[in-house]
Amino acid sequence: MHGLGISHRIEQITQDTFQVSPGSLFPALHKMEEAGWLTSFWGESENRRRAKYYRLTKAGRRQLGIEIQQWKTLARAMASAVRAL
Amino acid sequence: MNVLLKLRAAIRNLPHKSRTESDEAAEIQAYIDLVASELVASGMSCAEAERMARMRCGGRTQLEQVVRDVRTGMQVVLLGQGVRLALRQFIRQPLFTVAAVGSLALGMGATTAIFCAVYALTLRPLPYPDADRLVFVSQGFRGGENDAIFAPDFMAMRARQMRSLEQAAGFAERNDVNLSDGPIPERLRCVGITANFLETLRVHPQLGRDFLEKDDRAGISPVVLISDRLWRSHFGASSELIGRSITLDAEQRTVIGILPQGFVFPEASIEPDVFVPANLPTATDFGGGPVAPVSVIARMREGVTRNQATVEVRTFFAARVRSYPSGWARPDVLVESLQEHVSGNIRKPLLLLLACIICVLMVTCANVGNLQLARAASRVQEYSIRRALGASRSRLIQQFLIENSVLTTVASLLGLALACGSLVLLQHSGFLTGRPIGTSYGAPAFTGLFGKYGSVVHISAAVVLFTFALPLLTTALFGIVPAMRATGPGSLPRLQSEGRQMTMGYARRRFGHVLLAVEIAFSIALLSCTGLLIRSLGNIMSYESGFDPGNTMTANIHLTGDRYQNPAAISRFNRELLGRLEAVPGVEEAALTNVLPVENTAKIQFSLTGERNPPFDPGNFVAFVTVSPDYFKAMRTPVLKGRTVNAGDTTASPRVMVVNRNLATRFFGGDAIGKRLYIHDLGTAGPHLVPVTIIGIVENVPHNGFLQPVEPEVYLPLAQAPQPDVEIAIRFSGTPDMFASPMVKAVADTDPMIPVTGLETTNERIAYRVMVRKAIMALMSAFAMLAVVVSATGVAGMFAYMVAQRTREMGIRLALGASRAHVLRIVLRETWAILNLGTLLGLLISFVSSRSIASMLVGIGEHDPMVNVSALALMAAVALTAALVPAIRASRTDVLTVLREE
Repeated sequence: MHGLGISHRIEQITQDTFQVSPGSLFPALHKMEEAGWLTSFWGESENRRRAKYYRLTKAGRRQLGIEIQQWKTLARAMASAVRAL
Repeated sequence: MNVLLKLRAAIRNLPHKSRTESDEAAEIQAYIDLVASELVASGMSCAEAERMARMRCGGRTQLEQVVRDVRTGMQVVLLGQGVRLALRQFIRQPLFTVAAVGSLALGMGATTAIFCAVYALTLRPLPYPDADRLVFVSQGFRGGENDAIFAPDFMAMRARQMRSLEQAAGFAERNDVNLSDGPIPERLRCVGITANFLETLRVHPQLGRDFLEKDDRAGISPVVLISDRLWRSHFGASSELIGRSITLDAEQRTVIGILPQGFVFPEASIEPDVFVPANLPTATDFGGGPVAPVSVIARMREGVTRNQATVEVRTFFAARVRSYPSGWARPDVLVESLQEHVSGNIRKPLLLLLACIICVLMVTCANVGNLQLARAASRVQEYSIRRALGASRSRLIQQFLIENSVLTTVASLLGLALACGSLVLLQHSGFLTGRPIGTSYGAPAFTGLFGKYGSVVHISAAVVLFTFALPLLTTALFGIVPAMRATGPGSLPRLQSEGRQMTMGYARRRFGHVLLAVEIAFSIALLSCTGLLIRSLGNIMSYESGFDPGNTMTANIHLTGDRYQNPAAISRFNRELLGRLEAVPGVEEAALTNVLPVENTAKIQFSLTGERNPPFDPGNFVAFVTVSPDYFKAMRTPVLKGRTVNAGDTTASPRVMVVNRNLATRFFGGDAIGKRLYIHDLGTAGPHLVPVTIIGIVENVPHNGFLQPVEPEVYLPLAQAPQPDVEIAIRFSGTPDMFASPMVKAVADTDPMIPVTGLETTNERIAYRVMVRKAIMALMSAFAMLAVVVSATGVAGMFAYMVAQRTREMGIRLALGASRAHVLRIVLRETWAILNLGTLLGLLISFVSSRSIASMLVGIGEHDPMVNVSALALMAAVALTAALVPAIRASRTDVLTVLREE
């Protein structure tokens, strides 16, 4: 998926709660690529324009699992904290 | 992210910078295109869509920069860029660079050199294993010097197992010995050490063996250890020397060992070549006779602190004092680390020099900070543009600091080179270690600036570390504030107002003013301290005459061996020698004494009332000088009353003495002739005091250096009190070198086995006495001048810059009718304000700091108004002159040019 596609997808699934500006998108993508969680390649977009595509690597998938686990723990903790109020 | 990945990313990014860069740029471009195409698809016009897409990105260069910032390895690239940019900037402004680097290098070089000395002489551990556990134990009486304890106390201390001390060893200075093996007799420094002395220091002989407990007892076959120096220079480093006997003071002693090469004796004032057993009396009680002193070095047990040791030793001595004979003064006991003891004399002047040079460094730092501030102000436009192009404030500050680091690193490298150079130069000139006087001593003499430890002053790892830590510190000192100010919020709107910029407001100049005032303050403080020292030296050199050092020459001999066991033999030698010396053509008077003027005196017990055995008390001792008949004539010491010693005062005639003015007034109200003093008879060495009649009063002559006040002194006829130490003094007409060899020949003709040492004129001798003080003064003067020059360039630079900035304002003022004198006044008034602040601060600083040099002052108070006023006047004159050039330039502003530009 390419950069713009990623930000559109995020907007779509979060129902416009998160709007990712290119100023945060690109640094994040590049960081993850340097960490080896993503690979990138140049390809052609739906409307036949050149775009850079990103794909999760094996290490990235593993990292995703870890991050999700951490987020769930955090979310559960926050939820019970809020409930206790 | 783990380190390996990071490294891989950096390796990938760094060499292909342009590829990564263009790839990123292409990606951003592709993104913008995609957004635009979507907008076009939703019905926008092409151009409008393009604009909209770019706006959503929030600026393409900024976006590129944000992406660039997260790239791994970017920090290295940035640093490289920063350094390159800094170098380019500096090359473009050669005047600024030379001024800043030059003054910093001077300041840092001098600081490094002084730190070298401080480190080597006071911080570096002594060259013995576990030297931090070594302490020096001593007792002092009524504020007198602490350098020894009584032998019975030492014996008791050793007999009793101290809990905090593992070992206690002693040494006692001995008279120099004459080594008469070989073609020319040599005079050697000798010291008596206890058998466990080397063991306590953890030093082992390189050849042969150490002293054993049985060697250190009287009546055993005499043995001796010698230094590596003597072994090499006199005995050709022959290993067969061990077990052979050598002749010391006409006595055979067996050499049992050679000390290791580079061994340094743990006492600053002596470096012996011959070590004999101390042979201390074993008694632990005071028998009523004379008591031997012994200097004590002890090794503390592992893990014991010096405080614990001090407490235990003090408790021990508190109990011992009760066994002292009645009437003895109470001593205070001191346990200091051996290092402190060894570096004691030099520590204070060194720290003073270090403090001064740090002042100078601060001045140079403030100055460079000021120059940077001015530079930053003239680069405001550059900063505004860079911020507009997406550079963050931290990035600008970073660049600023990089520039400063480059500056200081270059300066510190230059400074290190400077320090190395000057130390090599000093070492070769013998300035640090002193001259090898024309003696046959194995060790060099100790008249140099840093005494015998001067030779260890060199650039070491710690010093290099210091030199590299210094730029960091200085960068922090003068780099951060200008950087913060130049990039602060106030600097933002410059882009708009550029081109119509007016005078920098007072608020922005104030920081620079404060820096200048601080520079001036430190310079004034340094000037005052230097002034005080200069006046002190002047006072020392204009000592109460008492004697005339011109055209006199002195030498030193020591009469030992079985031939000089009885006083009559010494007297016979003295008579013959005097006859030969007087016969030398050109010699006006020849005299013999045991102590020359300015040198250290010995003391004997005395009593005014004729008590047979007066109690031990420093007040019961008087300095004595033995003199031959022509002594006062040769020294040109005025005789105030009565007569001096003459040839008729011999062992056969009644005992007589001449006293100095001080003694006559203190004990007899000035009328001393015919009165009596009771002292030991030095001629017969009897156990009791004998009456001696005062026959004359002479003018006070300084002894024990120049700083000690003249004490009561007695002069005894040499014939009635012959001493083995003989100083020869002649007054001559002609040049000094005509008399050196006749003097040596006169001694050799009298006894060829007696070596002559210390041949020099009195003026030379005095010059060496004040050499350390002179050197410190010269260095301080140099530092003060450096500080003054640096602050002057600071003032000149600051005002030159200010005037350049205010050209427009000055032009308008002139056009509106201000006189040129008025414009001149505007600049000078600002200088005056800075000067006033600086003066006030400077007076405060010198008021506080001069207290630290109070102990080095002679004949002048620590707050001398004259010195302070001259320091102020000098600084004010220099600063105003420095400001005058830019002020005059301001007053010559061409009105028409300015108005045309408006």
